[in-house]
Amino acid sequence: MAFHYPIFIAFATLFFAFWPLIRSTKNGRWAYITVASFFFYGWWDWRYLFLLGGSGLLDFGAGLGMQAYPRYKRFFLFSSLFGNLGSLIAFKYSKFLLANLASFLAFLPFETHFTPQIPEFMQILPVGISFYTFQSLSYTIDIYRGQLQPTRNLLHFFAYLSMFPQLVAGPIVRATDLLPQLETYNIPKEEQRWAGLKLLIHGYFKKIVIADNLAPQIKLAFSAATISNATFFWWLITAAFAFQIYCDFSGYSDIARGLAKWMGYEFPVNFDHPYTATSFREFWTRWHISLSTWFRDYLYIPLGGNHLGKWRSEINMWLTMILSGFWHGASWNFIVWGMLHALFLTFERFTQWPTRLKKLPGGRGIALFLVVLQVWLAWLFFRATNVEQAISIIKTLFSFHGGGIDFEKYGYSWLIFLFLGISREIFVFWRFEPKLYLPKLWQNAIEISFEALIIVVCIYLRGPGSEFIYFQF
Amino acid sequence: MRNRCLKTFLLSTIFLFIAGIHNPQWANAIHQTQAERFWLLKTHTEAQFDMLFLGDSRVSMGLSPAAMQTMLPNYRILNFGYGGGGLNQVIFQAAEAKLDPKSTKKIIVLGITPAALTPLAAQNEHFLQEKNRSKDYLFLITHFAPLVTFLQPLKIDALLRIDKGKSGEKPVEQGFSRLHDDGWIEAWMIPENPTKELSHFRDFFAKTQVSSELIEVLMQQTRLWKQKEIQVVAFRLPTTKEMVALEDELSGFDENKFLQAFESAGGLWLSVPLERYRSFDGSHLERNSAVQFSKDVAEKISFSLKTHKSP
Repeated sequence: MAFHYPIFIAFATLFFAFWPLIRSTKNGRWAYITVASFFFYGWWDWRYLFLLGGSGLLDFGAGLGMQAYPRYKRFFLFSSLFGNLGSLIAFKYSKFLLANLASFLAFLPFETHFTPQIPEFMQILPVGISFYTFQSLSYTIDIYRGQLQPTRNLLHFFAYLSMFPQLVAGPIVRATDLLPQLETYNIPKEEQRWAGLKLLIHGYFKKIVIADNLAPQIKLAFSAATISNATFFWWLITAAFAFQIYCDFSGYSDIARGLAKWMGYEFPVNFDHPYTATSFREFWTRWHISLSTWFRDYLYIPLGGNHLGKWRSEINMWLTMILSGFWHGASWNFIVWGMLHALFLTFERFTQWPTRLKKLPGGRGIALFLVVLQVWLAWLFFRATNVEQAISIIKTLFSFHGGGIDFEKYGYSWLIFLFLGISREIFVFWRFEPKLYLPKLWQNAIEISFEALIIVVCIYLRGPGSEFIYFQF
Repeated sequence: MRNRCLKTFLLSTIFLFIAGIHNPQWANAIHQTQAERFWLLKTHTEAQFDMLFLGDSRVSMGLSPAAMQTMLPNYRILNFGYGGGGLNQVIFQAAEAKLDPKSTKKIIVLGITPAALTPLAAQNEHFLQEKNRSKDYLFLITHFAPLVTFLQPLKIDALLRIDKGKSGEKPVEQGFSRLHDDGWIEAWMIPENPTKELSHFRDFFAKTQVSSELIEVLMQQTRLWKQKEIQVVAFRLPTTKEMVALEDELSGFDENKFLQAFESAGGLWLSVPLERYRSFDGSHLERNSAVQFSKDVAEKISFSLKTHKSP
């Protein structure tokens, strides 16, 4: 079930109704989280619970094995890597890899038919597999590195791995962060519950008001038999998609963080207004932070990071970015997207253009504009049905063709939601904090009224429902 | 300040109540709930049937199972047509799953239109949208319809009066519909405009054409159904003469060739006279014609059942 389905509202209401009664005992708390989370995940397709369970059991066993037999630590680590990455490759990448292998062999030429041989159940991507696989891997890798003591309680482990708020689309919470939190129980204070509620309200606003109202027009534009050649129209669609994916994904993360706060736990911030970044390096400290830090800590740094010279550091960064792109999906589009980001980062590292530009008057604004421009262009590869379509749209963007928007077909309202999304980020960039301008006596009352109003807006201005984009990853 | 969460919930309930009772699009909200219930019920019904009608909106508006049951009283019939629906595996599999496996008189009726045989229609977007909707929404809409209506989202374009009906002007033609649980959309328009849809279809066939691969898939499925003792009947849906001429000219559909292939695959082709029926928009049958057409189709099927044992 997804956060924006009515069934989730019923599920969450029941969960939080019984949570205060159960949270005081460790086993009761862990069992409750595990059972509820398995129910939450099994709602999509109960058969994939075996995959989640199997992956978890493997890593729980590997953790205990590393502690009991330190001499065979490496064996247990490789078992965990093999099992987790193996299932990820089998379910997510096998079709893509075999199809490309077949094309390559056909080019040689050998006649092959790999794709139809993949069992049908493996051709469906289990929801959130990329997220929980990485989360589970962080557990065994941290134990291998001696940064974490394995838990001896299976329920404790599964409460960490399957915890429903972050199970299917992150944030990817490290075992070192969450396992110790789950050891204790904190009755959330009013301040924490209020912060949680605000995250929930704003998360839903981003997802169901902004992202879902932009979605139909973006779908219409990208699925047209022949794409429009109007430059202005495609700039608007490019901006709309940038805000759709941002609001969709960061909305999910906010809801997850809000739910965790209501349980008395803290998840790390996953998005920090990425479109206000004034350099590419800064962008990656603001976008999907839990994934970028995962790749940094478990791939980039083990490869040598930036300690082995300038060129080696570039190679490591390229590899990390390409794999990060490939993590998002089994398609060349995502690989190209990762490569583009690597290219932009390399250019920035060598020229230091944002640092130089920001020294000039108005340079910060220009740097933001240039970073956003590059990020948005790269998103086209993320969204387009294939690489050719993305290239053709980029050509249109810079062809400066006339032609307007077919308002009869696309309507007007999506432009309002795009404007709302952009305005939100501009406020953050200018560090505009409306609260500061309110009389102190009225601050709370106005804040409560504002949040109540946003709830009403979420209900009456919600867009046509669609799945969270990141579920497919 | 204590209990800000509780205060927010209470205040939002009051705001919701005020917004709900002052909803400027109340009529639209009622219609929206009815439409959502209609499509969800059609898609997710667990009832089983003897006869299903497949095709696009000409099927969903053109064939009334209730009218057919006057000629075929012992048949459980579902109109399984969808807007822009295509005839391919997606819909074939869903339809077969709705047939009662114990029934000895299983019939699939294919409502043929050139549009339904194009790759664009084969995406079956409308059907898949309904199929992918959460089942809990069906529960909600079935048991708590007034609440769903109360909370229906507003249409911003209409709210800001920047939709097609600018400044509150009424459109030239007004369409009406009544939705039936058996899958039929009883539709009419005041005043009727029998040339309205011509330009739409001209644009449509400029984008996409009838696909010979899709026709081949349909023929293979017909053979497969025959092997499973499911009778397959097809006909070209009646519409205006102008529309038929346009489709024959632009869509790439060859009715005679299709008919021959279909009959050799084991299907029964029914010939339908155009002049008996009236279309309200140049594509879909108006409600009285739809009832008449349904009875005529049922009569032909009934006749075939009597004369050939199987149609």
